[in-house]
Amino acid sequence: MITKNAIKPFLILSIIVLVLGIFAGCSKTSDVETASNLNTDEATKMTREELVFVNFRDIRDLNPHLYAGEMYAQEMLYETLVTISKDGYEPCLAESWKISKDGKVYTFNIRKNVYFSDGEICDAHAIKANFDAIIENKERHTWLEMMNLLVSVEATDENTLMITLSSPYYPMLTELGVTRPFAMVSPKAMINGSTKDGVQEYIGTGSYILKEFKTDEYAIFEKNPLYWGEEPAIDKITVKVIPDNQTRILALENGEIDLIYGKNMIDADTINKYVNSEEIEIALSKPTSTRQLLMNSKSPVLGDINVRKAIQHATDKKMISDGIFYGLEEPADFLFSKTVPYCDVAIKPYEYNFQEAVKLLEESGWVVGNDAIREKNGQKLAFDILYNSDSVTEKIISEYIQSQYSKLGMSVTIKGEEEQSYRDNMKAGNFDMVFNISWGMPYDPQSSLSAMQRPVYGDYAAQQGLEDKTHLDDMISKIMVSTSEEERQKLYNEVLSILHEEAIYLPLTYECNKAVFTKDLNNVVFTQSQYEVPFAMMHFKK
Amino acid sequence: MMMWERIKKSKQGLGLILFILIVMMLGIFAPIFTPNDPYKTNLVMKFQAFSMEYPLGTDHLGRCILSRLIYGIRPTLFLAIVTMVGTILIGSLMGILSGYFKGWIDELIMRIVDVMLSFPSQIMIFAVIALLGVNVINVILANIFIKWAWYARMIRTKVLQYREKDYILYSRCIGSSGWYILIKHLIPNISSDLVVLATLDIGWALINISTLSFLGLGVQAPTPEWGAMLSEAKNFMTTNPVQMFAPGVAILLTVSAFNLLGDVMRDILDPKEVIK
Amino acid sequence: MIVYIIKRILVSILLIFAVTFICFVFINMIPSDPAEVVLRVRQTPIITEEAIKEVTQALGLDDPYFIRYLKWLRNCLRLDFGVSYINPSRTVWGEFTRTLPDTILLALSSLIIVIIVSIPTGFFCAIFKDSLFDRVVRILVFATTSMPAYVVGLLLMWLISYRLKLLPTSGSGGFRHIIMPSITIAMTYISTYIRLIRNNMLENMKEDYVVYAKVRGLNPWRISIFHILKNSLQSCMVAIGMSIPQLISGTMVVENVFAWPGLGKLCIASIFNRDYPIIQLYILFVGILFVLFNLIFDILQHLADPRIRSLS
Repeated sequence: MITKNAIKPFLILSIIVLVLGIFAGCSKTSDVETASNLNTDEATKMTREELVFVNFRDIRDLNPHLYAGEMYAQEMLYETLVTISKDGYEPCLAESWKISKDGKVYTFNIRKNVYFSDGEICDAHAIKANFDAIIENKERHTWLEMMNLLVSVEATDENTLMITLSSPYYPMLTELGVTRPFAMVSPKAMINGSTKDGVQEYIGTGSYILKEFKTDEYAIFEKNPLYWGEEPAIDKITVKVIPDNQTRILALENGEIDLIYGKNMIDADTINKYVNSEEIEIALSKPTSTRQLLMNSKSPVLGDINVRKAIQHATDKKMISDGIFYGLEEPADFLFSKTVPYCDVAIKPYEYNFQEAVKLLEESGWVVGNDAIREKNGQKLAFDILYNSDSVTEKIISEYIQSQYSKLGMSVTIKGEEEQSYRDNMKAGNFDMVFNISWGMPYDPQSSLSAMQRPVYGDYAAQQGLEDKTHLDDMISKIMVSTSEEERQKLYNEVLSILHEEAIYLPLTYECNKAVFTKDLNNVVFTQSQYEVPFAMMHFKK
Repeated sequence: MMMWERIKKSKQGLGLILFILIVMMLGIFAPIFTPNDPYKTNLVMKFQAFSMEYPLGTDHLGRCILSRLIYGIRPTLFLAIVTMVGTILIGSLMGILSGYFKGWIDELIMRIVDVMLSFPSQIMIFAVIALLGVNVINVILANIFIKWAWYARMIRTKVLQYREKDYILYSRCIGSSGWYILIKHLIPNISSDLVVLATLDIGWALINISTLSFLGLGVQAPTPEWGAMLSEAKNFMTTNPVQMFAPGVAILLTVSAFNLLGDVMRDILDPKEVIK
Repeated sequence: MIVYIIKRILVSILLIFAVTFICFVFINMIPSDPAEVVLRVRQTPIITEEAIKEVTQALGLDDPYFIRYLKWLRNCLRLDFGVSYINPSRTVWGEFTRTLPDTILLALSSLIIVIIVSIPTGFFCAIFKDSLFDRVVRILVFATTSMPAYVVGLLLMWLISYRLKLLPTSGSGGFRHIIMPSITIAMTYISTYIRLIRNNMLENMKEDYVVYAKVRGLNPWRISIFHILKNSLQSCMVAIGMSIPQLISGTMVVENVFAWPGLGKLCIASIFNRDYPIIQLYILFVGILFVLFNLIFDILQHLADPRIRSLS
């Protein structure tokens, strides 16, 4: 094709590339110009009534009685009998409640004049209809212990709902405050009184209604005109779907979106970048839950408790906290932070100690093979780490510990999957090591522990190889129905010590909820539930 | 050899070959040329700018980008070469079988070739990977799988041309065996065409492998590979755009070097084509 | 002529059957047990051996291979491709029809760019052969063949969206979003078509009718545009038409770079998530598309070109 001077285009190309490179090098100096661009954008945006939010995936199925929808959206549309705040339980659809002396009967006084956004009244009968629909699919919800203890739900009149349990259960109100499955949907939206196969429409009593959506592109929420509570300041909330982290940040900088919010939506580098920004503000919550890795005791390699302990000792959590999170997330020593109720248990953390890790492996008979990988009886010390590719930091952590463990003679393969697929594999036990979180308030520790008895997340599958698994499950069931504070604490101590001793949970950091947003937006706060985005509290600067 | 004599006369050709050889040497002797261990993470040193210790800075895990770039030659370039060697071997075998023995073998092979060529190559690659799983070996297999048919057809045509040449007819008359004739006469005759095509296609294979790695379907972490490095760098486009620079340039330069060399060689070796 | 067309159609039908069979074999070669997958999709909490057996029988998964193929084919004709393994609330056909328009939109806009850019460029390159313009274009054409689409995409994204803040980085939602991805795709095709048109025109220039027209003293621009270009375009249009399926399947990489919510992005995500039914439908679709476009443009070419017509 090119006969003369074949070298020339090659040179030209190199020059083009170099020029672009110089551009890249100068990126720091032109930040000023960027800022001024944004300024003009902001001017035109003043006094807006619309907030543009972003999420990494579609809202999906918002039926609150199933688990396949985005929680932030469900929290906008639906409400529960009670809500949980840092001060305790607060009335919501139930104005007040009474608990019988034996702790078995709960009588709720239902708030009057509350309507679903389709005009249906939300009285005790409507709530009873919801409970019927939830109970119809009981198997699906047994991760909440109360489902196993439930005897009956009755609406004695329009404003009174009575729930009877077979035995007293201390976290009852906490569980009733859980959006899924205890949020109330309009009986008219149910299909023949049932919700387990879907609902006709997403109709609730919440402060917003779902106006329209386009799958995988956007969803638009508007103020619910029939809302009983305080009217939210922002009229309209548009949620764009942007799966990629960098794209979200660029969109925020370009003014296409106003707010990024969530634990897995923002990496620490981004937070760090905006610490001194004039245009973009950051917000961090207190630690909400524990970022951890879960090891599968059924896995051929990680079934060896010494390998698990070696891994505990070989993980430099301080470095992860400082290096990856710039100290925003504190290193974690335990499955539940000591500040979680009942979790201040006297157990000794696994110190970062490389020599100790080597010692444990050697003692257990794992010797270094020709390829620098340890082996024992022909079994290579090789395993997978499964991470959620929709999370912004799990990949980096995986890569980091992969390189750390390779020094120990472990061959680690890292595998990223989209959230849904990652969860399916977790539940089915298809993993050696997987990223996991404790559920945070209000679920920790009782619901998180209770869920270990059943295949809800990966915990159940991962614990199958433990000798004392049945004993563990036994004790967890006992905790849930125990009435004496002292006995409960004793049982918690034992369960948490066993889990710590078995070393199947590798706590990394205490993660916190994060938000970055335009300076125009006020009152971006974090509530007790780490999955809620409290839009109703936000407002734009006037 | 004729081919080499001619290439030696072309300055561009020599320059390009030199460039490619240097790149290959860097890859082969990577441990000597790299200032740091490409796998060594150091989170405290992440996103470092260019410096004496880290000539091209460090990436998001504090790994030396230059060292990774040099080690990245191995999977990027050598996998492309492996792909081409595999393709040529299978393609030549099929082409020679087809052209030399004719008959039903020819018919069968050529029908398969037709079907292979009528399908969109990109989809075939993705189908193979979807089926076999995400893995480097599968990437190479997929690339060979979709490319061999081109070579088979081309070589078959050449074989058919040479088959009737006098000296081959002569050797057959004096009773040499079929394979002997093939090895002795055919292969030297088609090798120059092969070299040109293969050089051009290394660029193609390079792009394919790095694209798949970029998408996360090829070379897996922590192995340094240029496409994968770009994909990692993309995740820090806003916070550290410089990280994209080195692997991007490396891919562009290497692919253009192969493409140019292929062009130069085509011009040198096949005077008829020059007019085009 | 009619015999040829009928023969061609028959061959295409056979090919389509081959494609469907390959797709069927594909889904049956996957390493997981389909019965187990069905149970997982139904969100069965605990999967037991009995449950698997039950499902295997209920769905006829133990029928002979060929019977299952026929059943599958029948479902395909009813556009029933099952549900996604990952999002059981979504049908495969629904996912396909949801993403297809975006991919077609992207492919079309790239095609328009390709045509608008490559025809005039190729034309002037041929007319002013070996001029400075021609040489610069050839260098540019060369440069684009050495640039992988994803590198081009990243460069554009960084330069235009990030540094200059002119266009949105990615996603879909209006004219501004489609510009960068379609330019990126067009880049890889433009070079091919510039070369095609240029070479085709150069060949046409040597034809007798051009010489004759020149001898008659017609305006050289008239000859170039109304005779040479017209003739070249005819064959180029066939080539462009045949490459439409290539264009549609070729959006895959760029869709992923720019997070364009089309088929290609869906397909890559499905590969990661091992959502086989979606991959299967995608392969089926592209396969059939290829067979059909080849058929149509083959026949068109035969109808349009008297030389080929007389040959058959």
